[in-house]
Amino acid sequence: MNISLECTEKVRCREVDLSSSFCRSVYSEIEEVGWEHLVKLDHDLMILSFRILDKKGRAHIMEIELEKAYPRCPPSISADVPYTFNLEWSVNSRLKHVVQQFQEHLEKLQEFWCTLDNIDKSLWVVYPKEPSRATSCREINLGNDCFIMLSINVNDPRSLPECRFMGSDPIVNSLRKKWTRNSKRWVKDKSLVENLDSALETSLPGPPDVHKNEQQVECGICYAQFLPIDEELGAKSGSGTDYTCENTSCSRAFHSVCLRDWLRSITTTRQSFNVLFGNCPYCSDPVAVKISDTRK
Amino acid sequence: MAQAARLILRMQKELKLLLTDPPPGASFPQLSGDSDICSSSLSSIDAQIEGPEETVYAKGIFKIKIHIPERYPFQPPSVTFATPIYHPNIDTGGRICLDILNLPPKGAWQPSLNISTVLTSIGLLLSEPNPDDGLMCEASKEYKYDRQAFDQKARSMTEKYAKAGASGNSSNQIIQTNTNPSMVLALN
Repeated sequence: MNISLECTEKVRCREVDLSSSFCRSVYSEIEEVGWEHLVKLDHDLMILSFRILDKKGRAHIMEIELEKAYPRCPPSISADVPYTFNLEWSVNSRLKHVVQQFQEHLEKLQEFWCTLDNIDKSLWVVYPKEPSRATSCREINLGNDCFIMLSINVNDPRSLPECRFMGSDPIVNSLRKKWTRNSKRWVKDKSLVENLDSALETSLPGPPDVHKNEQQVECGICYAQFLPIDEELGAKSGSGTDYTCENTSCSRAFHSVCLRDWLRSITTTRQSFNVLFGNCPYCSDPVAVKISDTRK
Repeated sequence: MAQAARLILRMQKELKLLLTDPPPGASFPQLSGDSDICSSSLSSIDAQIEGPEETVYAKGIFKIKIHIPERYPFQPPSVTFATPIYHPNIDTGGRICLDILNLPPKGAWQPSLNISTVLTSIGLLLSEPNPDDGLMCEASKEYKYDRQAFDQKARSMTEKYAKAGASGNSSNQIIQTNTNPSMVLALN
């Protein structure tokens, strides 16, 4: 009885010893990488996450999972990258070597991410909405209800990408013809976006934020985009819509002049100094319009 | 005047909408045909709506007068029935008791509404009278407590005033045959 107790006691001591030495070594290895890079550490020190910036300032998170037998066997690594690297590991390797190899890997992917960032910035990407760093696909709106799905070559991002067209048959067919005709003229020293423009023989539409301003511009009250040209309206004469309902599921555009005239027509409107408070005629959410000093 | 110019802009869009996508059962014999609409006729519009199927007004064609006030859409349009109708919410003068035809807080008119939505609402009012907010005491009471008598009176009124003979020819003729009895009734 006693002996067995002693035995377990010894085992536990050794475990504590082991774990404390394990802790010490992990801490010192984190120290070498720099504590400022550590973003996550679970309580038994088996999972660590580091935040690493690449040359262009893009932040990448690398998660390292340590094995029980660490450092005799290599840790496993996961990160938001299109493909992972083969970790070179020896008994003398430390966490800083993992980080170093990850940084080298990030360097190889710079051209790939630059290409994708450029697509996201200058084209109307419909899918994925919030692309991860690992995805190499982009679905792009070409206008006329047509879309192109591109998959960018990770190792040669400027080369002619694989693509698939979606949309109505006649338009897609003509796009496909242009694509095959122009694909020989695809040059790697031009950016992918420039190459796309010349391959499809058009200038592709930009991201939707720019488009929002072009649509939904008719006033919900007078039904016109621009106010009539009239002296009575003073500076507002001939101007476009300048008020949008703040309720994002409504977002109706109005001329503040029209909204003001409506709010003045009903007795439920409240006025405080030179601001009229009422409700949106479409969604009933509160609206507030300044009374501008145009003549009555 | 700025309001007049703004009104013309809106009315042009509304009329285009009424002709290309008319509300269910509604038609505009006066508008259809000539595509260029002169602004002088914008202040009043004649419409007609079919009585909804499976109601006492079925197969009737009701002429409706829409007057657009100068301050439209900041004021609701004034809409009246030119064809006599037996309905809890429509009086003998053709006046309609409908909340969207009055300004808030009494009514529910909003500039987001338009002629098309108003006519749709009137169509719904024919299908679903609202006897608790009745303009016509007698008809409301009947509708609630003596439905058979109500149905019979409404049907015979529809038969008498809203149907243009057995062979309803062109829509223009319908209007003409219906104008006279309504005038007589209004005088009474």
